[in-house]
Amino acid sequence: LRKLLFPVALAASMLAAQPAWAEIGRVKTFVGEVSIQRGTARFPARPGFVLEKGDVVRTGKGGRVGIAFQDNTRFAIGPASTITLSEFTYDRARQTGSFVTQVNRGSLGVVSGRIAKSGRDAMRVRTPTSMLGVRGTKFVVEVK
Amino acid sequence: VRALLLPLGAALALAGCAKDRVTLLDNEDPGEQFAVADITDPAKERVLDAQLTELALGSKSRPRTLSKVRKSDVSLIGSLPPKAREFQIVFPIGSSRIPQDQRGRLEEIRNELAIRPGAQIEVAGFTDSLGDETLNNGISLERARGVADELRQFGFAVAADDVIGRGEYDARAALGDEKTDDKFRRAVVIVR
Repeated sequence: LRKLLFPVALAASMLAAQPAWAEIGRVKTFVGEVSIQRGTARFPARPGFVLEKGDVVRTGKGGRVGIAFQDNTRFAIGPASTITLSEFTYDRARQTGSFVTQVNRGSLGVVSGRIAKSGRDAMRVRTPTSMLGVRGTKFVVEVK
Repeated sequence: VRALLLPLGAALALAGCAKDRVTLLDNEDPGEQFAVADITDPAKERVLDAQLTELALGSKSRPRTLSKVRKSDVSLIGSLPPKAREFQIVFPIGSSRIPQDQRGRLEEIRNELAIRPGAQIEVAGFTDSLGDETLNNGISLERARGVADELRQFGFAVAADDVIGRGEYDARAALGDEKTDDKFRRAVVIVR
């Protein structure tokens, strides 16, 4: 019985810690053409749209979007941008986690939150040429 | 030769301007660490740790200082959502009933939510470190649930996952065990 229960308990605890569908943040404001790609589906942005790990946020030529994350990190994504929310884990009780964002192209303004404070380079931003470690707080990354 | 080199030099300069970049603006949390580092090669970190400094990415150049924030960055930062706001509701010892003198806080939260479309509401309950830890875990969750229910009655959505009891952990870390203090007997509502 123990052999049977241990993997079940382990799987249950892993699901509780990091459900694949968990909310990581929300779209707060947007202007112009902004969409969120999740797998093969694409959704138009709207205030309150719930974001998940792995979502790709795209803005058109005149598009902009503001996003607030569960650890109080805030993003402003500028026009003609493609940004992937690659990794986000956050333990709200301990206020620790890790956060990786990929800027494929365009511009990203960031005010970092609790994850960046929780450990050295717990928050990172990847660009096509570089990896950035975020230690706080307000900065802009631009990829041409 | 000069006629050939001049346009080539100009083209190279323009190509240099078109490099990817990271620009450190300012610190929203004075007292906390303020830096961004290029850690692509961990043995050769390049660190920005001063206001208005910039690094060209994908190059080995040193950080440079800007005299002012770029117009495009001012406009981008203007699109940031507002900072999360926190509200605290204080409870009497051992109780999870919202006291009458704290109900004004609920009105403040309601007003804040009215100007934040699509807001996420997180409610965390706490206790001081007096009494049994298991009991305190229960009281902290009851405090959070009570506040969340009030906000739902106003018509706001509060997800079950966003209502958490954090027990006496914070109080014990700050005061030690078996201490009482109002400021830990609370529910914190975060609106973001």
